[in-house]
Amino acid sequence: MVRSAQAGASRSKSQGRIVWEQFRKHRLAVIGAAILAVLYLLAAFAGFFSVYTPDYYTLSPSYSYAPPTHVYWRDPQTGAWSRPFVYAINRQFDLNTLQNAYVEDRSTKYPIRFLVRTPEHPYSLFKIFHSDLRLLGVAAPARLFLMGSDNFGRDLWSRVVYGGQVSLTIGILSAAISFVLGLLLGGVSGFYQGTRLSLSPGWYTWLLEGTKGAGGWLVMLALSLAWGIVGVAVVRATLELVRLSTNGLERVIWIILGLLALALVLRIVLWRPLKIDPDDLIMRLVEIIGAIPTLFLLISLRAVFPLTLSPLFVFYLVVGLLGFIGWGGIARNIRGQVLSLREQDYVVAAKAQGASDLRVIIRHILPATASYVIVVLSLSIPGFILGESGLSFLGLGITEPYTSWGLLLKSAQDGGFASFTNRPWVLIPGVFIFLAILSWNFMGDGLRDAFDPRKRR
Amino acid sequence: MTAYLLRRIIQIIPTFIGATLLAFIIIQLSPGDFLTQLELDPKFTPETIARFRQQFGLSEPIWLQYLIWMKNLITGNLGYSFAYQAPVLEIIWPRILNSLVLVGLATVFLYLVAIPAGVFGATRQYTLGDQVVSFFSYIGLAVPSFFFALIIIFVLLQLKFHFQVLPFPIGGMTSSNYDSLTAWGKVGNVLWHAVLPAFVIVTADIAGLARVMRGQMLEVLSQDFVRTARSKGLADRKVIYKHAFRNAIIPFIATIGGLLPGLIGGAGLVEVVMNWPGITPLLLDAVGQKDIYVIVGFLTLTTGLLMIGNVLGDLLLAVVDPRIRYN
Repeated sequence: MVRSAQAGASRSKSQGRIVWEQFRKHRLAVIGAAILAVLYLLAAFAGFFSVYTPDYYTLSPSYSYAPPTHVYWRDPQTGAWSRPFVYAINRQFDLNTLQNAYVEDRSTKYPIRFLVRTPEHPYSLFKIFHSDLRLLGVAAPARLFLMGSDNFGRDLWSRVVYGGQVSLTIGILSAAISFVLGLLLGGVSGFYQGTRLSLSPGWYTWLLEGTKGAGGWLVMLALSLAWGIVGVAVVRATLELVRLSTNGLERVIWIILGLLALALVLRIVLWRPLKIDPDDLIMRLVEIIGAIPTLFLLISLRAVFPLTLSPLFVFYLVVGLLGFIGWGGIARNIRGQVLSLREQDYVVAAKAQGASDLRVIIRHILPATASYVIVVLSLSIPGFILGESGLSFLGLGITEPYTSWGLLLKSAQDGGFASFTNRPWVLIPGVFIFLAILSWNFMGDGLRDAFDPRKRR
Repeated sequence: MTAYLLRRIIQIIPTFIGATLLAFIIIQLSPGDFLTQLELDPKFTPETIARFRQQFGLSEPIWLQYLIWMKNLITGNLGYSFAYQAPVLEIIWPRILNSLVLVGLATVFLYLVAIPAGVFGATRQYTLGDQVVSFFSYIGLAVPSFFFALIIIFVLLQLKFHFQVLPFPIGGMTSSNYDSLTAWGKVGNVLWHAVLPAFVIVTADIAGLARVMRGQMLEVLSQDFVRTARSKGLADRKVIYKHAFRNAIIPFIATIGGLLPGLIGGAGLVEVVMNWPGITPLLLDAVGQKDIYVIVGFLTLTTGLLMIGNVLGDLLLAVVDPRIRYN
């Protein structure tokens, strides 16, 4: 018996292995995963891959909006091949265009050096390890701007690499938050659909029922007290509104509405309890949040907090806001899954054997939603990356000294339409947003197909 | 059908009230109000500010402010804008119409491009054409709208500098000679300005819906009745457009309601980049100035319009799909 089971195991493949093999056959998904690996490596080891610290700039000489540095592989005069080198640049005022232009000083060659130590610009990895080793560097006074510089003369490549830390983590963190909320609320909604909770005492109905313990009495009294407060509030609200009314008709309407509300409260306290299905409550909440256009809800929610806050707090705020906006759709889907899962024979069997709700949820229901969760999680991350960049682009997201790809694009646009015609390199951060979203979409599609038994190849 | 329509409208009301309540709570959570800024201004004495506060009802408790606001809403009064010194409706309605021009044109583009692209991909599955369409869908899905808008502006400016041609205006909603145009000229002028922003807004949705349409078509094409139609010798074109297409298009119509919140939001970012005088630029101003009734007004009206859009989508679905009968 044991032997045959083992023999069977060696022949059939585990779910994880099948998914992995299917995933590897999905060409686009593998490309996406590779690009993401590069992007996340760049972000994780931003200090190593950046040429300067992201906020490093000099006022004299100023390198404001310097174009990407020309890297030479051949000597411009002799044409001889050499190791890559750059020239130092000087800013000059062009009298024809009335704009600043940068001119190379061809007198000295500055070779690009690899794995350089920059003691004047140390950095830390994951806030734990301290180092000053960088992949690329050139000796002063030459500067290496792989993607040009911004208005202060800060190196755009270094800022893009550091911006990736924010943009790429926010996507994952927000997705995680909205998933925790979505799983929790969607799970409760689906699992307890149909079990109606009493929210008010309903004395008459309760007294007609059978046995009553001390705990029951306590709950009834507490509920009565709470609804008593509601009743008083209704009376006060009516009086207040009558006081503010401008004409007699309005006054009559308010009195009628107030009396109706009071009658309703009395009815649910004395007569029949107000019963609410948690499923109804949560799904209505999802509907309400989904009814407001997402961007406007995001802007208004951001407005709850002052615009000038500690940059770190703003980071967590953006994560929280995006997470709060995103959970509705996930909750609705999880609810649907749980609704069908809880009727499955194995779940009913577990319940019949006396398993607790918690055990049924953790052991039997959650594992069955796992593949769905992985797929939707990876497909939802690009949306959150987009959300962060949009919010930062509007100036409501990440603030200096932190930077993100959206914020870099905002500063590209700040100078007006004409500003980026002369310096197209300020648009490069957008390419990184594009790459990250594209790759996450590839990954998500690959995972979805890999988990789908109908799409086995 | 009438009964269904009535039921749908009644269903909307609690959600609508809930959404306005949520909006109101969010706005009231923020510290300070419009008058807080005046407190720093030496021109205003504390007594004046207290009088203002009384006058605008800002000294009342929040729940009372909400009820008064709700009462005014029923009579069509959305409140008074502090910053513009005018009724809210007067200020926000033109902005909403401007945004609706964009969203409307975007929806037209959406159907005009996404449906043929999806059908094209499905009928030529795995050919070069299909792969090109898929490739562009992936690109379109991944480009952030505001980045795309910046690129388009960049390309336009390059065209202008190098060839002295400007096929489309770079920003704004009207040309400088707008007032001297005829009525039709005005419409044409606005549409001419709206083409690019509308296209940018809807790129991602076109890409997404083209993929949905392709999947739907493929599913229908693999069904028995299509095989039957083919085997009895019907022309391929007839099978695709008379049998498969009409079935594949049905779920498509239902999705439009779900797309609208995203479309209006996506329009917001493009409005900011391309200087379109729509909802979002004004909303951002209002948020900065704590002009609460303008903010709540926008949230309320757009939410209301979205809900009406959803009901219309459902009705359209019922008209198109004979299997759905709401009784």
